[in-house]
Amino acid sequence: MPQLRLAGAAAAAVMEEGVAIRDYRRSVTWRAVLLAALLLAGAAALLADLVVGSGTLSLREVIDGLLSPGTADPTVRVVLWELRMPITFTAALAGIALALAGTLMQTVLNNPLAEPFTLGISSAAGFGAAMAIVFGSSILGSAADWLPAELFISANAFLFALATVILVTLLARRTGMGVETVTLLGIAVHFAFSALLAVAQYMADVNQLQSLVFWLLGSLLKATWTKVAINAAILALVLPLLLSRAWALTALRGFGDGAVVLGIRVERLRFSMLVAAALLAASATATIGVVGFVGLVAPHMARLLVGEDQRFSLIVTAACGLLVLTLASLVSKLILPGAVLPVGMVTSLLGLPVFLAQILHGRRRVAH
Amino acid sequence: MSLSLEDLGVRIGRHRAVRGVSCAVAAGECLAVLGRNGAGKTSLVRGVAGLLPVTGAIRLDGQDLTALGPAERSRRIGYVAQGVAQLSAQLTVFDLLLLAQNGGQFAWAAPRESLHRAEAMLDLLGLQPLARRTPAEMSGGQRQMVALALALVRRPAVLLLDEPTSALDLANQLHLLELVRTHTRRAGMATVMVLHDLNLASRYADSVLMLEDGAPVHAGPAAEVLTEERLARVYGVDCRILAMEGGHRAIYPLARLGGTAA
Repeated sequence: MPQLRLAGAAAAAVMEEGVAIRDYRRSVTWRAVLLAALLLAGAAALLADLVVGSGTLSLREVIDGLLSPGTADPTVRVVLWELRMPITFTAALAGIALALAGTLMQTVLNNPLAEPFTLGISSAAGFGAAMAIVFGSSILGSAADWLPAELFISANAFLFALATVILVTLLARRTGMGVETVTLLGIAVHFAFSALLAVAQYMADVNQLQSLVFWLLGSLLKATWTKVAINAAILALVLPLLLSRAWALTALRGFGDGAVVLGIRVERLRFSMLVAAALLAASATATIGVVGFVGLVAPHMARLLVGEDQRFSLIVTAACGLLVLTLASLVSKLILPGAVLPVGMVTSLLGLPVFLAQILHGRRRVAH
Repeated sequence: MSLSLEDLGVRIGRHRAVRGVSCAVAAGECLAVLGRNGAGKTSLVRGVAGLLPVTGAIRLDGQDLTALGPAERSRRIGYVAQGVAQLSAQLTVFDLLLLAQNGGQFAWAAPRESLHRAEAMLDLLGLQPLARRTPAEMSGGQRQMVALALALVRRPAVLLLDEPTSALDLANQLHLLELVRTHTRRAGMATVMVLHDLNLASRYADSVLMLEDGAPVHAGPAAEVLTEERLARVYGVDCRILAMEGGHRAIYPLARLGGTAA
C-alpha cells in the first residue's frame, strides 16, 4: 500500500480534477448511455409487440394508428387500441412493477435470491383470486358490488397480496425488523396460503378449476384499459418515492445495517420499501396472475450492466423488466401460430438463456 | 471540538454493557480505550456512535448529542466499525466515498465538491490505486484503510475507531495511526479508538481509558495508566515496561499470571 502523502497532494487535487474524478465521470456517462440504449430497446420491443398478433398489421399501420387514430382504418384502430395496446402496456407496466419489486426485495432482505413473491405475495394473491372464482366472495364484502365486474377477481387478489406483506412487515417490525424474521414470516405465510389455495382448488368444480389454473398460470389476456390505468397510477405513485430514496437504497446495499452511521433510518427505509414492493408486486400479480422469473432476473441483469448505484440501477431494472415481459409477450404470440401461450410459461423459457449467457459472459463491472 | 462523556451507560438488550463512564477528549486529541475482551470497549464506541441506546450524556462542545436526531448526530460522527466485512456489493471505493458524504439524501448527481473531497481523501490516504476497485477486490488491510477514508471524508467532529489496525501489517499500523493522529490534530477532532495493542496505544494516544466489566478502572495519560502493576491486575499478565529511544515505552508481556508462559 502506498505510504502517506499529506496535505500537498490533497490541496492539489482540490484545484483540478484528477484521475479518479475523470474515471467516475466516464463511468457515469457509460451508465447513462446504457440506460438510453435500454430505453430505446424497450420502445422497439413495445412497437414489435403491437405489430405481431393474430391479425396482420404492418409497422406503418401501427405507427399511423398510434399517431393519428382518428384517420386510421377502423379495423386497424380496433385491433390496435382495443385488443393489442392494453396487452402491450400491461406487459410493460407489469414487467416494470415486478422488476422493481424484485430489486427492492433483494435490497431490503439483503438476499440475491429474493423476488417479488418471497413474502408470500403469489400464494396470497392466488388465494384471493380463488376466493373470488370458486366461492364468489370478496374481501371487500358488499362493497365489492360497486366494483366493475372485470376487477372483481383482481381486487381480491390485490388486497390479499398487499395485506399479507404489510402484515408480515408489521409483525417483523415489532421484533426489530430483522431480515431473517421477515423472510421466515413470509415463508410461513406462503405455505399457509398455498394450503388454503389447495383447499379452494379441491372444492372447485371443473369450470372454476379451469379459470383458476388459467389465472395462476399468468396471462396478459386479462388486460383492460382500466387495469392499465390502475397499474400506471400505482407506478406513478411509487416510482418517484423510489428514486428519491436512491442514495439511501445504495447505502443499504453498500453498508447494510452500517448505513445507520450515515444518518439513514434503516428500519424505516426497509419498512417503506417493503410496502412499495408489495404495492408493485400486488398490482402486477392481480392484473396478470403469477408471472415468475422477471422479478428475480431483471435486478440481476441491471446489476451486471450498471452495478449497484441505485440512481441508475432502479431505472435500468425497470427497463429490463419491461424488455423481458414485452419480449415474452411477443414470443408467446409466435410459438404457436393462432394461439397465445400464457406469458408466465414463456418468461422463464425466454429469460433463462439470456440470463445464463450474461453470467457466463462474466460479471462486467459498471465502472469499466 | 471537545467530547465529554458524562456517566455514560450502554445497554445491549437487558445487559448493561457499559456503566458510569465519564471522561473528556479535547479537540485535536486521541483517547485509547483499553481492556480485556468483553470489557465493553466496542459497546462504548457503538453507544457514542448512536448504534446502541445510552444513558447519561455525550457532549460535543457542550451540546448533548443524544438529544439530536440520527441525521444530525451522524453528521458529527465518523465511525469505523470493528471488522470491515459489511463493506460489500459492487460499489467502487470512489462510489462509496460519494455515498458516505451524501448520507442518503436525494440528489440526482453528486455535487462537484463531493467529487473533489473524495479525490482529496484518496490522495491523503494513498488510496488512488484502489479508487475503481470494490471492497470485494481488496485485502482486509486495504478495506480497513478505505473504512477510515469513508469516516474521514465526512469531516466529522468526533472520530470513533474500533480496532482500526486489526487487519494491518506492521508498517500500515504505524501508517494508519500516524495519519489518524495528524488528521485529528489538524482538523481539531476528538478521536476515540479501541485498541488491543498497548504499545500502539502508549505511542499514539494522548490519554487512555481502561475498562473492566463495563466500568472505568483507570483513566489518564498513557504513561500514568499503563503501569506493570495495573496491567498485571487488569489483564492478568506479568509485563515489563522498557524505556526506549525518543521517550517511547515498550510493553513486553512475560507470562500470564497463574498460567503458562506467554
